[in-house]
Amino acid sequence: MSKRTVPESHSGQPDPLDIVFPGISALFAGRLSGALTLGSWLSLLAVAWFRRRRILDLLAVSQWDGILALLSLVVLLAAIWVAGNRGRFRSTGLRDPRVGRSPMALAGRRFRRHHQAVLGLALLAALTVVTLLTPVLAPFDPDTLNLATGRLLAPSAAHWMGTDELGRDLLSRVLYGARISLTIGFLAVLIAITLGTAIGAVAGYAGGWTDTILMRTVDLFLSFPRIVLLITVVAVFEPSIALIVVVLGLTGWMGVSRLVRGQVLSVREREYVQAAHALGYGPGRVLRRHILPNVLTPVIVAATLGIGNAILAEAALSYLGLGVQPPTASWGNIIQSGGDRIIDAWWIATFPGLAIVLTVMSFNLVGDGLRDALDPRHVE
Amino acid sequence: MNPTPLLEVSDLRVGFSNEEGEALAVDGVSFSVGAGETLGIVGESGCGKSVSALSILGLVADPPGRILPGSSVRLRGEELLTASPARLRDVRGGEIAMVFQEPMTSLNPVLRVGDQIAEAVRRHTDLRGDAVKERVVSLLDRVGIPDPADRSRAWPHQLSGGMRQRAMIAMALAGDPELLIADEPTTALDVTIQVRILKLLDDLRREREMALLLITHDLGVVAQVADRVAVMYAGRIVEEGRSENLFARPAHPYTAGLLRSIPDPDRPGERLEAIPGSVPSPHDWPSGCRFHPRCTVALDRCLRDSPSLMEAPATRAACWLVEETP
Amino acid sequence: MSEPILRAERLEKRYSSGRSGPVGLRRSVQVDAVRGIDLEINAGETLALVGESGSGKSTTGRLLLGLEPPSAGRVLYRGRDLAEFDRAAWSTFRRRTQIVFQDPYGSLNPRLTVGGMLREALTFHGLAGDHCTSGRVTELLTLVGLDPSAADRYPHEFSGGQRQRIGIARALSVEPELIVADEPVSALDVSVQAQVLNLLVDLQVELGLTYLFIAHDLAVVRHVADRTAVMFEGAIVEDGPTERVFADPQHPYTRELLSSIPRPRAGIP
Repeated sequence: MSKRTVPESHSGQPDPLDIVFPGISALFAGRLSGALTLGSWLSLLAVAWFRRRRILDLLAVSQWDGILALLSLVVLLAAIWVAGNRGRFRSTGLRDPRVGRSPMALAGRRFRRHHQAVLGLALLAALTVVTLLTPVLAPFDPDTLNLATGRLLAPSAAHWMGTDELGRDLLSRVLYGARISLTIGFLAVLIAITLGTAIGAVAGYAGGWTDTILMRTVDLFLSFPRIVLLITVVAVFEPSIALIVVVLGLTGWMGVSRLVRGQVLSVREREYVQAAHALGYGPGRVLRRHILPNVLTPVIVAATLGIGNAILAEAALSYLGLGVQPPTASWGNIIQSGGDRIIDAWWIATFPGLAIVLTVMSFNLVGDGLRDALDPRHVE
Repeated sequence: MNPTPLLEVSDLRVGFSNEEGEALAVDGVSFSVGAGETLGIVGESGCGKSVSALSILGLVADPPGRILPGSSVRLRGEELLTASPARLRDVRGGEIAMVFQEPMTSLNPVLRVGDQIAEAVRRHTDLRGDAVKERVVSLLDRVGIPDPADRSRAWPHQLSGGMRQRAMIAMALAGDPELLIADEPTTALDVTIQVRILKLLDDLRREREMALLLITHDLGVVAQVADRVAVMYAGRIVEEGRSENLFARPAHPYTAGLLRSIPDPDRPGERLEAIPGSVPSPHDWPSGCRFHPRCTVALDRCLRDSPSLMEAPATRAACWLVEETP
Repeated sequence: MSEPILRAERLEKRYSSGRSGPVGLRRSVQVDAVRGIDLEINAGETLALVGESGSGKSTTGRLLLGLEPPSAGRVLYRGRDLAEFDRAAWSTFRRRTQIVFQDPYGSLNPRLTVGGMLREALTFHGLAGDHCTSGRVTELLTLVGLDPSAADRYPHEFSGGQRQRIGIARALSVEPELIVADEPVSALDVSVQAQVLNLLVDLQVELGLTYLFIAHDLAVVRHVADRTAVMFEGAIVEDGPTERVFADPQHPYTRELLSSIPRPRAGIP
């Protein structure tokens, strides 16, 4: 009864066209995954072709940045190739795909049915690729000034997003700004999730005074207004990326801890946890192996949505001049410099703004999709 | 037997869609309930008995459920499956009322018990004002709740499981129904309470000349109150007949197997005869007679041809053995 | 006379749940789940603990296994008080006693494969070297009537009856001498109940197990138990050989319970 079969050509073997165009047989079979796979493959090849000179330059100069970008390009191409050719690597005899499907794998299937969520994920994937390949993709150096002839140029063939008030190419600055925003977003959420999960799990599992003390601490932290705190801290210390990450992380863990605590409280009473105790497992093992894995699903959703929030917070800070400092490009500070000129040089504020909207929306779509896919009601 | 039964269900087919496609939870079920009699539908989980009951009142969620064309549910000859929504709303709680398994979730926890019953009274009778209150109290009294006037002001969580079930029954009786459908009404209750609730249902039936359709997995429950019994397996009725006949001389191997797998209080310690295997899911229903993989006396024919109900010595059973045995 | 395996002396358990009443007059609501019971389980026998919901029978089971501390009284394992156990004693106790739960859907960790769960128990207690675990896992699964391929599957791929078997396999994995079966068949379909009951009885004979069988279904109890104790609102109201309790019940509650057994035989109510 399986619906997922190896893409087959009329001869029953995986299509040889897949070697050159991974995913093309899936495309012929009418599957969206084929289009995405083939499309990504061709796009990356186009990038490699059109930017070949840049790639050679990077190799010659051997910047760390460029090497990373190049390596990512190769890895991505390899990954797409394998994905499009996975039929080739399966051993003969189809396994019943329903056997041994972990709850996570089932959730993955449900996720794929949500078209909006898949779109969001595709956008995020594209964004990640762009971020990794920025040194290859960016047409200009983001910091090169052109005060003489290049100031405030409208979008054109030479500068797809125009230039800013100092003659710097906006597209390149937006691309490099993406790196900043995503890095800050991911790292801040990483700190928040780790801290929140640890505190919430301990509070939920231990109960009693530990729980009370920890939760009152959470309440204490919650009473601080996030942006005001950020502004204050940044004003006191020198603004830097590390500082922003730390402050965002330290102000974002509270919601997660409550979430985790609630989940731990309910999972703790489940019979398989009692069984673990009856088998003599200590609290550490019970928490790690039996409670936490069953508690993480809302945390994953919260993390995804949280990255969007962190990106917005960073943009707001940078807009206020308290985040990433010029000349380093960040979506927030580009908008700030473009704010006054919104009438005559609309592109400076608009493009980074669009980028923020698209990115945050993608995270939200993915987060919603995850929430529906991971709904414990389905796991039976 | 009544020439026009009160309720007649013919060839009911209900499909459910999930990730793996659509499967029939109920596959060609036909039964009838006469005025004032008790029909018990017995089956294990997944056999389709609850879905059948819900279909009568059009309570199957669509999607993912779907009542297939060709099915018919007739109340005194009136087809309910094609009735207008307004007519269906009148029927629900009016001519046909339903009582469910979990009294806590069937009663609204934020409304007082009396208010919920009063709502039903107002909907299905012409009573208004104080007359409504009187009726509520009298209903609560009739279902055996002590201090009914007091209790009508109670919240659901203040009542025990048995009391809540009685309150549900009172609510169902508000419209003076001709047919009461009870879907596993005692499963969530303790054994001693079960007996009392069943007795209550039986008494009410006699008093009000009401028909009772009892859905359950518990053969003992059915034995206590049912006049006729239908046994369901994998979406079909495999045996039906008068209750004493069915228990004394079951013709279908599944019915016989069920009876043998219940510990017999008169023969303790004897090894139970378990039916091997487990109930198949609607997506994996076997061909031919759906019970054949678990049947110890299956014939070759059973794998290919699906039997319909045939006359057996004491009951009607869907089994080729009935035909083969003289 | 040999020492009973497990013994409860004047065991009590109180829960204080929440508060009732307006702010100024808050009182803790106390629930006496178990009120001073005495109980003995001897090696090789099956003791049934019967009662309806709220009788305290499940709580008693957990108290006897030391999964919860008693409010008063003591539990003795082979003469030794659980309250005085050190780590080594607990470790031994946990291996020698096990529990099987009622709810097949909540008793297995949905994120672990069956094999993973069994292997964890085996390696934790050092019952099989890393290379031998698959063999032992296969043995256990076969012992409870499941196909060895079940080891690679997740709980949600199994039916209720099969999950109960997995739960039994988990309990057996540490080679216990006593198993507390907390309503092991109540949540199962009738046709599957018989299978699991037969399995439990067979295992008892084969492995020399002792059972504390907690149930509310008297017919089942009569079928499997040597001795029966009836619980009502936290106290034991009757206790004795099963046949005697059924044939000649002394306590009015026992009599009421017995008269409620549904009998699907020839339509006799």
